[in-house]
Amino acid sequence: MEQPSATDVAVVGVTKRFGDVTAVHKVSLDVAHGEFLTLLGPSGCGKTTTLNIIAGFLRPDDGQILLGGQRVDHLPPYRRDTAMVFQQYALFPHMTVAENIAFGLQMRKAPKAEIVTRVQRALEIVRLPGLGDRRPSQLSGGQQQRVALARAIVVEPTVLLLDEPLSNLDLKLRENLRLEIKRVQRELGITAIYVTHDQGEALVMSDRIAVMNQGVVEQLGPPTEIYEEPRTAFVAEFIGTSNFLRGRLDGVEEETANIVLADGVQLRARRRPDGPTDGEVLVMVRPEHLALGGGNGTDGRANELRALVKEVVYLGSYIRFVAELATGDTVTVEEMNLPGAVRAGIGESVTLRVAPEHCLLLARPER
Amino acid sequence: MRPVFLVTPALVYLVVLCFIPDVIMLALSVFEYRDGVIYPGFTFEHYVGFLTDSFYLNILLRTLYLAFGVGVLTVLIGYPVAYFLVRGRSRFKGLVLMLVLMPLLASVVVRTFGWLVLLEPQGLVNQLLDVVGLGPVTLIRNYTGVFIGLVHVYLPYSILSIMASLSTVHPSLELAAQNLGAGRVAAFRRVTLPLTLPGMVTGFALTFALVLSAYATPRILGGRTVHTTATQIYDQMLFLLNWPLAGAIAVIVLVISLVVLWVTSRVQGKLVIA
Repeated sequence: MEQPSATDVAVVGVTKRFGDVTAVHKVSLDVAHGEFLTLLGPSGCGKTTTLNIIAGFLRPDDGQILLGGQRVDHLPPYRRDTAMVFQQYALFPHMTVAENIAFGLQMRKAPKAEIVTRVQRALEIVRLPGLGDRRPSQLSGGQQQRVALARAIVVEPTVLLLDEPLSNLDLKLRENLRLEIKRVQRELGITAIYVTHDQGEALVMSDRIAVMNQGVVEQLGPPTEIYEEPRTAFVAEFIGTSNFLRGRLDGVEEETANIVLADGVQLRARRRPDGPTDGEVLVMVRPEHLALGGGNGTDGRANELRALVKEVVYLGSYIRFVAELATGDTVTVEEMNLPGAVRAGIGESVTLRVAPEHCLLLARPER
Repeated sequence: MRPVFLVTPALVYLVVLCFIPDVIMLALSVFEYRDGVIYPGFTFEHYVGFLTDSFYLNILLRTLYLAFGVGVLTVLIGYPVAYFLVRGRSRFKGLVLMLVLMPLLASVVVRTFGWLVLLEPQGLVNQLLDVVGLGPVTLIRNYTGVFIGLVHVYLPYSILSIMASLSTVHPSLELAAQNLGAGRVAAFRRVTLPLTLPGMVTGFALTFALVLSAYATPRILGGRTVHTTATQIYDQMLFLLNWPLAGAIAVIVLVISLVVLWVTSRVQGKLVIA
């Protein structure tokens, strides 16, 4: 088997069933050394199960797990060189912060003097110096999660596993700590797998994101690719806000396609080489790419759609319009709140423009 | 509602049925007793008599020994059961829990007579021992039988205390320990055991106090040859009509129970980390 030496973690065709339910179906992932990979998806998509299989808390029904090129799927958790940060912190309440951080080093039989210095250093890395003698219960939620991070990184694992570590914290702290975790990971050059259902976290922190749905990896790629080039309607819907226009394919070229909407309106859209070739399809448009009529920023190639404004939401830096097309589809339009920007009121009939390269052709999912 | 109204019914109940009888008992224990007649007075002769008579002292020490042994054993054999019931994923969990709780549903007298049938010289246990060549063993009318019976009676209390303690320990703590390189034994010893020590101490203290006052089991399985403080109190009251001595023994047992509960609650305070 060819394993590039830079691969720290390899998940190869892993399947896990719970009774009749297939929680994870033939999932394969390669995580390079120093990479931050996020498993993103709604609850029940199999992301936490995958993480637990890597950690060894669950046995896969099929497939392999490799850490540093070695097969580990037959090993118990304590023989795998992983370190987990849990959603509920999972700090040992009967130990001090320093004892918590020292635990993994003690289990690895590190010399006492070395443990003391490494614990001190770990506390400095997570910016909690001097709190070593406290009990976890004397710390705030954010501090507890920093201790949990310190406890995991201090053992210098092959891979750091993070299971929704921020979901028990309030928004402000969450945004703060996600940058903090990213900083620690980058500074130490540690390989990390991060599980979350929060697309914002995934976009901000990850080198690559694996979007999971119903036990399958729907798409794996860098955040920009996931956002700008979603391969499926699920990915487009889960990450960011998307408008979907239903239509039928009417002529396909190499990189473009003609689509006819239900009301007969013609639309040109961008098509990937592996995109659909005929039949019922979806056209995905991001709200920021739809322009309210009257604008002159297009070159005449732009698609034009007639719509009725149903709702106007003022959001400060931008304004959101919800409009209904003649087909009955509802679209969201976001306009930057700049001087001279086009305004429209509720009930007004408007023209929406969107460049063909911002219309992405997607297969219509079977429902 | 003001909190005082909420506790009133229980408070009335306790005062009338527990506190007042205790005061009466305390008063009786210092009354004088001559030739089968009780006279009001104030004397410590019953306490002195009990604590200096080697016969009585022996009973007290044996009872304490019994309470200690039963307490320790119920915790030791109760722990794995509690662990299974809290952490296990077996489909027999419900059945085991029912088996654990069932002794609490039957009268202690009924249960103890059941043990009598099992443990008697011709009983099932001795027949089985006979088959494997360990010969008939005297298991009733001695401390062995009483010990076996008491462990059975009080096991549920230890199991329930340990279960309560175990269920406050989040399973992710054990996973975290294993994830950090601790084998199952190390994870248990360093994390689960220290965190459930309060439950074990509670189970022990509860069992200890209950065995000190146990009457039916020692009487039925121990017959006339086994004496405990509880059977002694009973005999003094009903056969010898020496209520002051019975009261004195009862007060001594009560004080010992309170001391044990106080010590364990102090230990608890040190163990429990809020």
